[in-house]
Amino acid sequence: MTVATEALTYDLPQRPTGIRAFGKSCTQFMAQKRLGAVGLIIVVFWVLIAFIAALVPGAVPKLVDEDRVFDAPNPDYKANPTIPELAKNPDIGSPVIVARYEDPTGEHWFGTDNAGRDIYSRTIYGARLSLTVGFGASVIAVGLGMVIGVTSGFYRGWIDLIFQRFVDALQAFPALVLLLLLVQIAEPSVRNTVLAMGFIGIPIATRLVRSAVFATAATDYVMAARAMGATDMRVMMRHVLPNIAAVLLVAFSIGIGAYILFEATISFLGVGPRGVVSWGKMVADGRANIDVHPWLSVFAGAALASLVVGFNFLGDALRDVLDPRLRGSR
Amino acid sequence: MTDYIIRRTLLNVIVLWMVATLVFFALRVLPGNYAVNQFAASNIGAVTPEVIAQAEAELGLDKPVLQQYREFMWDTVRLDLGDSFRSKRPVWAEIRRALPYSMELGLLVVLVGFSVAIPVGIVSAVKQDLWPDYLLRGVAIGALAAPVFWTASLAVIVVLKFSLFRIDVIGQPHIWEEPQAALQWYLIPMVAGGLASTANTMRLLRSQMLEVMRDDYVRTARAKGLQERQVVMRHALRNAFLPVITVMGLTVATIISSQIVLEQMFLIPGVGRLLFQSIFLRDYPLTQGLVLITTVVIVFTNLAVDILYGVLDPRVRLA
Amino acid sequence: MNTTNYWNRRLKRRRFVQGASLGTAGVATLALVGCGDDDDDDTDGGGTATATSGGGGGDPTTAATSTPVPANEIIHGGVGVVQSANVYDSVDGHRSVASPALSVLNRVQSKLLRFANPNTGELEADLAVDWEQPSPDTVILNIREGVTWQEDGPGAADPSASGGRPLTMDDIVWNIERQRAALLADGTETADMGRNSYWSKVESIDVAGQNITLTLTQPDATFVQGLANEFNLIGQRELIEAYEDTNTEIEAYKVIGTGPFIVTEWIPGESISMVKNPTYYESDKPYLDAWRFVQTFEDPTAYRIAFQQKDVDSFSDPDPTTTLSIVEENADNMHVRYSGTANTVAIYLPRAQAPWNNDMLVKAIHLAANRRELIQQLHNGLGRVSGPVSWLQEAWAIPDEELETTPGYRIDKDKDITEARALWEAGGGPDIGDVTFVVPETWASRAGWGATPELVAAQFNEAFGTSQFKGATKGYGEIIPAWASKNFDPFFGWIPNVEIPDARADLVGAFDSGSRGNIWNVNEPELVDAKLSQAIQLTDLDEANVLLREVQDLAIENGQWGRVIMYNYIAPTAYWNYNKSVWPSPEEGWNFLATAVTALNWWNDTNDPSYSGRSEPSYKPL
Repeated sequence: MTVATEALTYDLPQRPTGIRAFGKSCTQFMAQKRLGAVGLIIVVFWVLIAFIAALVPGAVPKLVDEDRVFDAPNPDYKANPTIPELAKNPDIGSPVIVARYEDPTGEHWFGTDNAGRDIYSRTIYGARLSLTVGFGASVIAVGLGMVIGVTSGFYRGWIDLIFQRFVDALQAFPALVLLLLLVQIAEPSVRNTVLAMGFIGIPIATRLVRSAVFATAATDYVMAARAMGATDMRVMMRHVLPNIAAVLLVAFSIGIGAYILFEATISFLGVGPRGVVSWGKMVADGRANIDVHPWLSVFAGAALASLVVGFNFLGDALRDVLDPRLRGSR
Repeated sequence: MTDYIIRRTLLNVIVLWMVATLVFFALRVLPGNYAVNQFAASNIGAVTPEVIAQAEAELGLDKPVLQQYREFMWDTVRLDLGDSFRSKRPVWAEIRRALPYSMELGLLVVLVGFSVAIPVGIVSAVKQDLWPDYLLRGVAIGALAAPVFWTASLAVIVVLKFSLFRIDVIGQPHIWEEPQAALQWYLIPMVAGGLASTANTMRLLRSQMLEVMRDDYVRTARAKGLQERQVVMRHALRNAFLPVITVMGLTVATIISSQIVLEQMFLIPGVGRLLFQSIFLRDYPLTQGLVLITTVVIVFTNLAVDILYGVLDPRVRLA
Repeated sequence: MNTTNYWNRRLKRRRFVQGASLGTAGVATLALVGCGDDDDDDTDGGGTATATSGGGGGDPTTAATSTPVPANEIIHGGVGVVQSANVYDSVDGHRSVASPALSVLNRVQSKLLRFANPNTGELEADLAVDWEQPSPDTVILNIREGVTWQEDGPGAADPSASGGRPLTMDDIVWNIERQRAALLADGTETADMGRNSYWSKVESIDVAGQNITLTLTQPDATFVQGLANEFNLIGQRELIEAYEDTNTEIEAYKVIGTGPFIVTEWIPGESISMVKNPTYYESDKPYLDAWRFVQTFEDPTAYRIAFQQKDVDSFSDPDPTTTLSIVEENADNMHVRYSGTANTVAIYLPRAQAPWNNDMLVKAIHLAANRRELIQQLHNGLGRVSGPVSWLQEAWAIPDEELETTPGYRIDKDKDITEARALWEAGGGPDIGDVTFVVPETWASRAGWGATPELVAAQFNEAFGTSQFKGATKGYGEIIPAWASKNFDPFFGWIPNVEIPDARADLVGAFDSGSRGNIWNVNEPELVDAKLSQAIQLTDLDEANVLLREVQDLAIENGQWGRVIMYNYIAPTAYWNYNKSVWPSPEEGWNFLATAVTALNWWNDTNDPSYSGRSEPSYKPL
């Protein structure tokens, strides 16, 4: 028995430990997977930006920046403008003017939006929501997927049957439609949006995990461990989970880009999270008149696209490296 | 085989029941209902609690939820999807009108998607981690990363600025009626949607190819001295295609309801647009009917694909 | 009682008020709820809904009402295109409480009177060719002879309808009595008779020949103007009663009228067609052969495609700069028209419940609300602040130069804010916890308006030096029942405030203690009621205005009792030059609902260069 276990332990894939080993595998990864490296750099860049937005006071845009919104008293101000007068000069009726739709200048690097808000600081700030939504939804999807997938794959039988029907139902339900229903149930806060998206992601995560658990559970060492009388929980924690860690990481990374785009889509449809700066919303708002006010959506769009590209590159590379079926490929 | 089909069909029925239940209760948890929403555009201030109560009674919304659920289930079993709150027409009639548009757009999107994804997938697998792989995958993923409503809006503005061609959002022609007008109308959505869907198929094909190319028979083929091109096209691609067929089946099915954004932007009166409107108006019967019908399409396409899979790949035994 | 001079004097900007022999009146009893700007409404409905007015206009130098196009130059025929609404609540004009259905029916059915100029209230004949109010509680109408119900079309062909039959005095009496009693044919009471409170003011109806005399329960000088309200339609008893049970199932065959167009197709959310009524009683009109309502453009991209390809005749983006820049690019072929939006922007505070039963807090909100800032931030500067009476009802509103120094509306906003802050702190505002302003989803989901909840909250946070204020969005599905129950969150958005040019009825609807819409716990209600009921009876408009001004001053003194009117914005609408109609001025569109006016006067100038490339839209013929 003991011998068998040792032999099996020996058989487990080597997982490098320690910082140096980690650094080494990172370097290796970067060298082998150049797109993955690019993706990693992009993601790290935006994560840093998001943290800077939280830490450096000047980088946080006030939703209404009173220093900037009301730039100056209006020299043309007229108390009782008629409609024809307003038509000639829309600002005429206001004693002070909002610096709206300004082109990029030294003061406002990316220009200002319709309410006179600085687009540069909003773009910087928008990274927080996209990252929160992407990571948050993915954590929830993979977390729940792990619980369901491991239980289902480990016990099989009727538990598997029931769980899988639930997953089938979720998967058969058109994802965007389910999302539209879920996000409207509670108020459209960031938390609720993340929860709803995580829920949508359960089927894919569950399927990945479940099949990996099937494969793992069928191995000799798991059978041996069970034969030795290890509790189910112990077997799951000690033997199954470590062996599906790679799959979990893949499942986690591939979804993030999609969740970020989902947020943009529901923002387009008018049910996105409220009260926060959202790239998706900025793009959605500026899209129909991009020829009139290009700055509204161009920067946010570029930021959004770059982050999604980054996550996709990284996810693909991780899958190439970590997917057991592909392991060993260059 | 027959056993398998029967078993899967029974399981599908369970799935359908779960979806029906889920959509039924999700709709009723949403704040607001049609009785009030139909007056949202009202500006004459006559919407009193009595008016709302009267409208609710007329729509049967005053009944207890469980009673509504029982009635809904019983009607659904008899294939009666009820009447839409908004149009008061049978949900079946609404579906009959919307489905062809969604199918047209869906098929065109898939066509564009696959005709880009397949060559890109093959090349990037064969040239794994070389520059053609990077370039093609970069472009494909870049297309995925930009929101479709942004790229489509840009395209529309270019078309309008230079008067390139007419986009008939009013006439709403079917392809079999006025092929040219219909294609012009569908052109931007199908390219935008197709490119956005490319990356996923491309990825699957690529990873399947990579896997297959390390299989023994491919190695054998190589050892036999076959040209790499022949190895790829004859041996690897054929086997890599099987899972891709699965994805194709799924894509066609889900696409019917997933084109909400494009249908909305181009005024395509398909299932996606109808679903979106009905959810917002809280048109319960219409939403329920549309979700059920798309689910039926999805689960039975799945079944068909699995059966096809079993037929095509002798290694897979359906049991 | 010639009131023309009065209106001329009061309406300083308007250049053309003529004719009205009996100018003013008003529709009474505005309940609180409803409203909402709706993207769904057709674009020619006038100011109330989408803020856009009828089609037409054309060359700015020729299109104004003051210099109408000579009749022989008007080109007959062709089709007008507008967008359809998504939802219609009833085919029965009496029982429809939402504007989309009524703006369809307005082209099909006649009213007793019609606004010749909806902005000023100038009246003209419709079914009644003559009208008179010999005493404040008596209205005499002389009904047109020789009017027949439409002879053709699905409605006339319906077995229960009597197509082609002459309009009788009984028809008119039935329309009034039915709405007054709010009873269906089988004797059951129904809650959805939207004009019940207006018609309840009629005590008795007497018919003599072609004359009909309405005796009112109490003197009401605004009653006659109410007859021209877009919502007071005359339908045919046989057809309406036949479909009383299924009036919410929209079908073209359930509609017949005496109006200029016949509905041939009515599919909600998809398409509506209506064609010219050949037996319409006004010779030469309407000019168009048909109207086609196309699917709602929920998305600005689709709307823009359709407009730039001339598939629809007008365009208005929520962001005025987009509309303006499209016109600028096509300056030779397009023009723009500005119309005030009758749906007034306001803050509602639930004054019946704590902490808003504290007058100091209510007043602080009224003072701190920075109206001009919001007009700048959200509407590109296109808007004007409104007192308790909107600037659209110019004859009754507090003049702008006085508003400038009125608390809450001061140019010197710092002064307002200082006072507001003192009141807020004295009233214990800092201790009431979070204050969440609810903005309707339909408002916040418009491109560029998404920041509204935060902008509104930020104004108050800044003014009071706090962070208590938050913003949220909710659908009308939640908002309307909450209003109806008088237990709601502070609200920012559109409210129904302006129906007809005479503002008296609207103020009665808002603040009279007997009004269904009054949920404001008005201070000294007896005093306010007395002033309002006196004002509404007066035929001397100067006297009435003095009283109305006193009520407005009282309202402002009390923070408008929590019904804090902010402003009315001005929406530009783009038109191709081939569109012609009657308009107030070269730049202005109608600020009030004007379907009846535009339906009759709209024509397409096929000789205009901009017409080339327009493909005549298809519609369902008779």
